[in-house]
Amino acid sequence: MKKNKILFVEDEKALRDTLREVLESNKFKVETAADGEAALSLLNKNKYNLVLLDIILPKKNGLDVLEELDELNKNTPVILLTNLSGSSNVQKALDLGARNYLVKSEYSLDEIVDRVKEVIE
Amino acid sequence: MKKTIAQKIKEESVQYGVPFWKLPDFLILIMAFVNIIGMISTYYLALNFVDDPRSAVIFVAIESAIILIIGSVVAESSRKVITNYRLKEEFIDLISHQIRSPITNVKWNLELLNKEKLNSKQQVYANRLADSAKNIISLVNDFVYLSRLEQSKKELILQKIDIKEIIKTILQETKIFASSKNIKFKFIDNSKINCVRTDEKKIRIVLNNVIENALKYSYDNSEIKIEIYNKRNCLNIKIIDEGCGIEDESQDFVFDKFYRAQAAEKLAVDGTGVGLYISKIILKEMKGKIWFESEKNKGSIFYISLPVFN
Repeated sequence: MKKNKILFVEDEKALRDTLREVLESNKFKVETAADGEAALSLLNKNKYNLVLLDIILPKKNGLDVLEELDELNKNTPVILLTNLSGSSNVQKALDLGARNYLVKSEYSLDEIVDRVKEVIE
Repeated sequence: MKKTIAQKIKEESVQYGVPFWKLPDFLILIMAFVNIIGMISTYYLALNFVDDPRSAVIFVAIESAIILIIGSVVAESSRKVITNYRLKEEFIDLISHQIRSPITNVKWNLELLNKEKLNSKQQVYANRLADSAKNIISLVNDFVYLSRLEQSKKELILQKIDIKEIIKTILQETKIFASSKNIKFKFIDNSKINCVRTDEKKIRIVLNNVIENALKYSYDNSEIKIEIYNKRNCLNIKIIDEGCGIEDESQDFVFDKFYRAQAAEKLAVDGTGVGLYISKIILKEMKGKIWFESEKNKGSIFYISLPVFN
């Protein structure tokens, strides 16, 4: 089975649409969620090969989502994709098992796709 | 249920992110303990060596009360300082996040736009926008980083990093700016080990600052050479430009905060004057080094040295 199913959790519509389009053009199957609760409900139902997760989200923040991952996606790699750069967030995310922590404004779309490929493949 | 002092101290230690032995409440407890011991021992000594031991005890009791009052005032103000520090940090995090989000959108969509067929005029406009977006991002990063440095927050997240890859990415990102001045990059890899254990985000800030400076101060139609090589237990990065150089009278100050060389004013180069200051501090944290050689109107060579960890 091809490992290409991604859940992209991002509350900013413009960013969500842009990265989704780019990932899809790179042959990834992308599902999106705009808040923490919607993300958890998808994560409880479907198995993903990668989760791209924002931190500041409505209803439930990304770090809480990471903490509440259940068995189905417990071992799914998670890349935190956020515009928060405080070290306490980075450390907490890494402690909770996030594979990587990327500050969105620092990365181009091509670089993000490369990171996604690195982790998935 | 009322919390015990130990529970309170434990909670505060987590809340403020400081070890328990540095917390004001814990220090007051210790101070009170020392005072009680002092009173008992004074009483014991006075009983044996002074005619009226009660006067010695009263004196020590008054002294202890004063110390405790002062101590509690110190504790209250320290708590306020810590709370303000946290609020300031959260505020800066939030503001920078709010600015970065829309500008990320601009940056990403310009990247997509640049992949479309644009005519030369459209390309110029897109490049101008990309430059401005990049400037805003650097400005926010400088601002965030500076505010953290000023709170003496040392925070390195160490990972195994391939410096060569980071340099290649930066060269790719600055390609548009370089081609607008017809500047060519030449990358020379003379290293045997090019992986270092360092903080990726921070080394990117440093390399970005130095490479961007080389670009900003280079003359049009020139070349920038970037060489990496190993020397003793270090990986050195050498950035050579053929630009206006740094005049002698500015050379002692280029790593100072907000310092802008005379050339920057003359050539109207964008910048806030914190890039090299930040770079020097980051490299100091990493136990690395940055220095330069420069000659007016001939160019500059910046050296960055990073320890290689096995």
